[in-house]
Amino acid sequence: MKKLILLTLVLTSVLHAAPVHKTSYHWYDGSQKKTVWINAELVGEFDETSVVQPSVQGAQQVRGQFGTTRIWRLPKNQLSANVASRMRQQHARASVSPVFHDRNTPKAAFRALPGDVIVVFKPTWSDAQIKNWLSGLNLQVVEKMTHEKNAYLVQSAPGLASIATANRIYETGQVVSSSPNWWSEREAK
Amino acid sequence: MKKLTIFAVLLSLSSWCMAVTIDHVDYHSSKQISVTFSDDFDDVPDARALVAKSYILSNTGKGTLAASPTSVALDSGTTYLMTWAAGEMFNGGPLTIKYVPLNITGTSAGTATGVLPIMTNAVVTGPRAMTVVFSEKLKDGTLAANYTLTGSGLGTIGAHPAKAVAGPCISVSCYYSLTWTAGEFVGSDMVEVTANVKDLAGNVINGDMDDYNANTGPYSIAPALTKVAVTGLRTVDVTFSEVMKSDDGVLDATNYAVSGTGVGTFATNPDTVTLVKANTYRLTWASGEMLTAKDITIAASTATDLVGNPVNSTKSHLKGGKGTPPTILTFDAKSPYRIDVQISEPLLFPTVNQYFTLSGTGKGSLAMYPDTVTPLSGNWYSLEWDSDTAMVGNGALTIAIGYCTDSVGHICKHTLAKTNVGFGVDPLFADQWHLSNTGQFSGTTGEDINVVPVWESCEDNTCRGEGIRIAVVDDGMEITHEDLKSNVVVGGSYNYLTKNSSLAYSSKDKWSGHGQAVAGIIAGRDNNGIGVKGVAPRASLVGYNFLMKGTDANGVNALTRSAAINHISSNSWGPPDGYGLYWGAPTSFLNAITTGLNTGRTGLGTIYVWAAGNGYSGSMECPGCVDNSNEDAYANNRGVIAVGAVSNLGFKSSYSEWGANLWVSAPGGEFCGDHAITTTDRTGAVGINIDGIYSADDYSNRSYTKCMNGTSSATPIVSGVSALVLQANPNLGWRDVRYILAKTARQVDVAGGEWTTNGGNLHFSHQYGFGVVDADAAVLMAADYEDNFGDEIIFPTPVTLPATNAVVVNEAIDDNDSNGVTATKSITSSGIDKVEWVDLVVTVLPGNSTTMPTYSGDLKVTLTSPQGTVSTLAVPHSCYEDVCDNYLLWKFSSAAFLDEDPEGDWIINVSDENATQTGTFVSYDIKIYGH
Repeated sequence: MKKLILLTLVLTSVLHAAPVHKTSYHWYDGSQKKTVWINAELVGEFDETSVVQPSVQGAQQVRGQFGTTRIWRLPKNQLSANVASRMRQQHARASVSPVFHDRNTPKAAFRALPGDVIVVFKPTWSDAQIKNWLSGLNLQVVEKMTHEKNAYLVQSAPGLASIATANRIYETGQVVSSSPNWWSEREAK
Repeated sequence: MKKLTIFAVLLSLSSWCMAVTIDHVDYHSSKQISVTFSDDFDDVPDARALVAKSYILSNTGKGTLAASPTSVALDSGTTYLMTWAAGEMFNGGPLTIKYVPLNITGTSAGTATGVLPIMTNAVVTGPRAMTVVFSEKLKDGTLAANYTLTGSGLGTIGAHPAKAVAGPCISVSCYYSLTWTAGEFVGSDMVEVTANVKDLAGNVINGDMDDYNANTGPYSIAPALTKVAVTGLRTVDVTFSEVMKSDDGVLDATNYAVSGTGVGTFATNPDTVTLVKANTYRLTWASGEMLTAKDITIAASTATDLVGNPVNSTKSHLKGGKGTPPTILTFDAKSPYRIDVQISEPLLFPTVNQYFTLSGTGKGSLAMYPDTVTPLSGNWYSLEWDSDTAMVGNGALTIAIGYCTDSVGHICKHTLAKTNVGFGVDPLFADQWHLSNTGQFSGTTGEDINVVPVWESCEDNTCRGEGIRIAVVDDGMEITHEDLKSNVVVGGSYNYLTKNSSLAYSSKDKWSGHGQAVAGIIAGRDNNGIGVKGVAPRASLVGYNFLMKGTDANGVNALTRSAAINHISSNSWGPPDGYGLYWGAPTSFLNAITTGLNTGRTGLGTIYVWAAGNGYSGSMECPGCVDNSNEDAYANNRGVIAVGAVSNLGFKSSYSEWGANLWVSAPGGEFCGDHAITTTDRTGAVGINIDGIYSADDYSNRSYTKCMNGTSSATPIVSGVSALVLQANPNLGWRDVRYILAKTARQVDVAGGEWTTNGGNLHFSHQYGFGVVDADAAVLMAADYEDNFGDEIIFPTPVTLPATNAVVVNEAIDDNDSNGVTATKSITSSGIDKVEWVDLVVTVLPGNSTTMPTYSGDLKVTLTSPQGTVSTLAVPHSCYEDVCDNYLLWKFSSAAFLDEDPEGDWIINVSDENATQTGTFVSYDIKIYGH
C-alpha cells in the first residue's frame, strides 16, 4: 500500500510539472507492451450516482454517457490524477479514474480504470497455489473468470493503482498475463 | 485268599508247561477261518475249544465280524473251523485270534478276504432324481460327493447330487436315492454314474463295477411361463420357469404372441424383446395400446431352455391391461380463428367438432365448439371457427376434449389450459419489412430474409426457435416487457450493475434501450396479439448488460457466461464508429472468443454474431471519415460472423461499413423517417423513443419503435436466423453454421455490389459479404447438412502477436503510385483443401514522420489468392483529426477466399495513393484457416 501512495505522489508531481497529455504509462496486453497517455483534464466515473459533479465545481460531462460511466472535463486548474485520488479519499466507495488515450491526442477514444486487474496464471497452477501466491503480494481475488483457464480478477483500486498493480504482477515473470481491467469506449451500433 | 492265588498261578504254569499254542490261522471265506493248535488237546482235554466264546477275533482284518464266531466245529486233528453268521472281514488286513482258555493268540500269515461291494443298477427316476443299487449296504453311501455323473444326458444337472439317501437293502440289493435341487437332464440320453464308496467293513467298491449307465428317459423339464405382468403402457414382462438359452429364440419377438380381451391395438407380436433379469424378459410394442383392466395373455413358443427343451406355454395377467384415454398434449393458436391441438393418440372418429370445447379469457368471439375439425399428421387436429370470429390475443385458453374415444375405446376426458397463448395478429408485423417485405414503405417486394416459409413449415414446435438460447450482449433488456417475457429465461440474465439475474434498465436511466430493441428483433413473441414478431419468435432470451459497465472483465464474462447452454451470442456493439481509425481488442477478448468456440455448446462452439459497424458515412466528429470493418478487431475476428446492413430496397445501408471481413448482410434499414426496423422498445416513453428524441414517425405505442437501425439491427436478425438453423440441426458446429449462412446467402445489388466470383465458385462482395441471409434456404440446407469439415487446420501456425512468422519486406513504397510494393508468399503443403478464412498481419511505417502517424490513411492494401481473387483490405481514407494510426502489426482478415484451394502464390500489395507522405512496407504474416 505504501508503494502505491508513493507512486501516486510521484505521478502527481510529474503531472504538475508536465504539460497535459504528455505523460504516458505502459501496460501489458498479453505479452505486448502498450502505451497510454493520460489526459489531465478528464476523469472517468463509474457509479450511477456521481460524486464528482457535486464535489468538483465546474466539472462538465463530455461525450454523453456510456452506461453508468461518465467522463468529466475538469476545470483548468485541476488535474485528473489529483481529482481521482481526492474523490477516493473523500468517498470511500468512489470509483473515479483519470482518463487515458491510446494515442497522444486528447481527442482520441477514452480509456479509464475502474479498478481490478485481469491476471492469467499458468495452467498448471492450482487455485490454492494462486491465492497463496497473490497473498504473498498482499493481493486478493475478486472472482475467478470464465474466459480462460486460470484467469482471475484481482483486486486493485481504481485509477493508476490498477496499472501499477497489473505491471507489478506481470513483471514478476510468474504469470501468463496481467492487464488492468480497462473500461474503454464501446458503443451500441 | 492267599491260597487261591497260589493255586491259580500253579495252574497257569502247568498249562504253559504243556506248550499248546496256535500254530496257524487260515482264511476260508469272508466269514470263516480256521485255527490250528500246536498240539492235540487229548493231552489236556479241553472241551472249551468247541465253545465260540473261547475265541476273540481282533486286528484290522476283522471288518464287521463279531468278536466271537457264531459257531465252532472241529475240522480235523487240531484244527477248528469258526464261522460267523453275519458281517465280513476287511479285505486285506491281518487277523488275530485269541484262545481265551489258554490265553494264547495266533495271527494269520496272510490278509483277510472281504467281499467288495459292487454297483448293480442305476436308474433315472425323475427330473432331478435317480436310484443306484449296490450289492451290499454301504458305509458312506449317503455322502452325495461320492457320486459323480457324466455323459451326454447330464444337461444342466450337477455332476454331484445335492443329496444321497439310503434306501432298503433287499437281499443283495441296497438302494440309494440321489436327488438334485436344480438343473435337469437332457431327455432320453445317457448318463453314467460313478460311485466312490465302501461297504460297512470298509471294503472299497470294486473298481471294475463302480459305475453304471442309465438312460435319462422322459425326465427332462420343458420351460414354461410362470408369470406375465403388464409393466407399462407398451411393455409386458414375462418370466420363465428356468433360465433360457439366450441365442435360441428367447429374444425373438416372433416367438411371443399377445391375445386376450385387453390386447387393444397391439400387434400380435411385440416389436422388441429384452432381458430384464434372470428368467424375465420384457416385450415391448412400439405402437398400439392395451385396453385398461382387461386380460393380457402371452403365448411363448420355440425358445428353448439351456438343455434345448422348447417352451410352449401360455400365461395371463388377468385384468392387467394398461391403457390411457386420449389427452391433450399441447395446442397452439395458428390464426385468430384456428387452433391446432395435439392429442396423445388418434381419435376413433377424428372429425367430430363437439368433441372439442373452447373456453378462457382469450376465447373472444369464437364459439364453444369449432366449426370443423381436420386431422393432421402427428395426431394434430386443426380446429377452425367461423372466420368472422376471433380470439383475443395474448389471452388464456382452455381446450377440453370429451365423449370421444381412442381406437381401443378409452373415453376422452381431459382439459388443458394455457395462458398467454391466444392468437392475435401481431399488429406491427405488417411493418416488419425485414421479415416480409411486401413493398410497404416503398420498399422492394421480396427484399427480406425469407423467414415466413420457415415458420409455416411445421405444425409442431420445431421451427420458430424453440429450445435455442440466445444471449443479448448489450446495454440491457427489459425482461418483463409484454412482447418478450414469454421468451425470457427466468433467472438466466445477468446484470453487471447489481450483480444478479434481475435484469432491468435502471429507473434513473431513461435513455438506454438498445439491447431491448435487439432482443425484440431476435425473439419478439409471435401471435400474441401485441407488438412484433422476432426472427426466431419462440427462442429463449437472456440478456447481459455489459455495456452498462463496459470493462474488459465484464466483456469477457458476457461472452463466455453460460457458454455450455447459450447457443448464440448476439453482439451489436463495438468500438466507436466514424473516425477512420483502427481499433484493437484486448487479448482477453480474443481468448474469450476462442474459449467460446472451443467449449461453448459442449464443444460445438458458441455462434458469435457481430455488428460490422456503422462508420461508412463518418461521424459527427469526423463527417468525412469512412470506416472499414476490417479496422475493427472485434468484427474482423475469425470467430465472429460480421454482419452488414441493407435497406428495404436491397442495397447496402448508407452507414454500413464495407470490409473483406464481412460474412453476410441483413436488413438494418436506413433512418426513422425512411422507416428502419420495427421492434420492441422499453415500456413507455423511455429508451429509443424517449421524449426529446421521439420521432413523429414512430409509433404512438411507445413500447415499440420503428426507428431501430444500424448493423445493430442486422446482427440480431442473423442471430435469429442462426437460431432457426440450429433448431433444424442442433449438431452443427460453429464453422458449419457460418458456412451454411454463406452458402445460402442471397446476392443483392448485383449491378452495384462489386461482386466477384471466387475460386470456390462463391459470390463475394466487400459491401455485402456473401449476401443477405436467406432463412428458408439456410434452414433447408441445415436440415440435410452432411458436410464434415473435420478439425480446423491453420497454416502455418496460429497468429500470435508479435507475428512470429513475419516475412520481412522492408521496401519503400513509391509515393502517390498505385503500383505500390508487391510481396509474394508461396503456400505449399498446407494440408488445406478449402479455405475458410485468411488473416494478414501487416506492418507499414511512415518514412518521413514517426511522431504524427498519418500515413496509413494513404494506403491501399490488397491480398490476391492463387485463384486470382482480389480482396481489398484497406483503402485510402480520412482519419479523425487527420491522424491515422500506423499499421503496426495490424491484423486484417478476409472471408473472400471461402472454399478456394490455398496452394500457390498469394500476392500482397501495398500502395500509397496520396501524395506527400512516404513509407515502408516492413513485413507481413499470412495465416490461412481451412479444412
